[in-house]
Amino acid sequence: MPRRAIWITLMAGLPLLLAIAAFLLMRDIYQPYGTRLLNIRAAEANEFTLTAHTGSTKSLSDFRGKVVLIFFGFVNCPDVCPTTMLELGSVYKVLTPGEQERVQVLLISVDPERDTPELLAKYTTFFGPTFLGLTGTPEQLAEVAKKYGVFFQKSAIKSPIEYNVDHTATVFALDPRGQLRLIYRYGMAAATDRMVEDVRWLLRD
Amino acid sequence: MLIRFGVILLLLGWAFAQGQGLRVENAWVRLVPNQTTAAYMVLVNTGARPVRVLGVSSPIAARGELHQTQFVDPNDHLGMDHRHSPEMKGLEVTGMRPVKELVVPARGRLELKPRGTHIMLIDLRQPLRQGQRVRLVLRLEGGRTLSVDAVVRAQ
Repeated sequence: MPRRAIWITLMAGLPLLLAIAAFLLMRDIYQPYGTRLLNIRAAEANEFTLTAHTGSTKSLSDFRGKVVLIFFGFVNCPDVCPTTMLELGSVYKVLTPGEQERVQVLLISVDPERDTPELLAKYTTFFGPTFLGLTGTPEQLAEVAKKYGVFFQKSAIKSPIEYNVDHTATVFALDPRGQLRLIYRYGMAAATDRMVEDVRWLLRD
Repeated sequence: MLIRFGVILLLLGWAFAQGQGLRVENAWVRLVPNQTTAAYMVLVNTGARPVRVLGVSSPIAARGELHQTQFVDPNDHLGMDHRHSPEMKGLEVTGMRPVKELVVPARGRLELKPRGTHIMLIDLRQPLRQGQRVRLVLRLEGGRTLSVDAVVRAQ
């Protein structure tokens, strides 16, 4: 009888154990689609405080507990910015309402002179109802950009209000602890399903 | 009979002169909430000679421009933080550059698409509506024009 009990335990328990082991392994060996930062820097290195499109002051630390996706862009950008924002909108739409509550998309303006909070509000929420546009003084924005290795500079200047802005078109993904974990180089955000998988991975993490 | 034939010939000639073998497929304008947007399409040239598009206009915008999104060399990245991890160095910087003309190769095609060549529509006169039909007029070499019907899409 004890021997039979051992057999039953083994027959039932072993597959269960294997399943648990496989699950744990899978979690660990998940290969993110975004480029992983091997040396994760302290959350403080990612910190910033800017003016949100709502008029209130927002810091990155206000979004602790959420996966934060950051894109630097501007309203008068007709091609790269709306393309990327639409892609982030597609990612957001695929998430469940519960997941959506734990994801924050931020558009940081590289055109503080033209991007008023009102314009940013209209623009940013068009792509996702909870998306938030951030702006600040040119000095503040330059400092944030520097932290993220982002370059921006006016180009094709026709007049004080007619110009383009060249800028780094990378999407940065931060985990719920405010750590910068993944970066999506130019064009990568187009792969909605893979982005969603990464966001879910960061949410689990 | 002869008159009818002549009319047909004239019409054919007119049609030929209009586009000279240039056809447009899948033209669309991106729905955005602001005053600047882009138009995309596929230009198909069935003729034996390249066709040049020199400019564009539209009743919905104050101005239309031919643009190309491209990588920009930020020269030196002066002032960039060099303590970044290697993964964060040399991230692509993109910018838009006006282009003088679009050349659609003989018996070939040119695709205007997001992150590539596009038509920039500046200072929209009215907010766009999804599904709206928008007229774009391409100015071709030799003083010819080609009217294009584009659809406003949220994509």
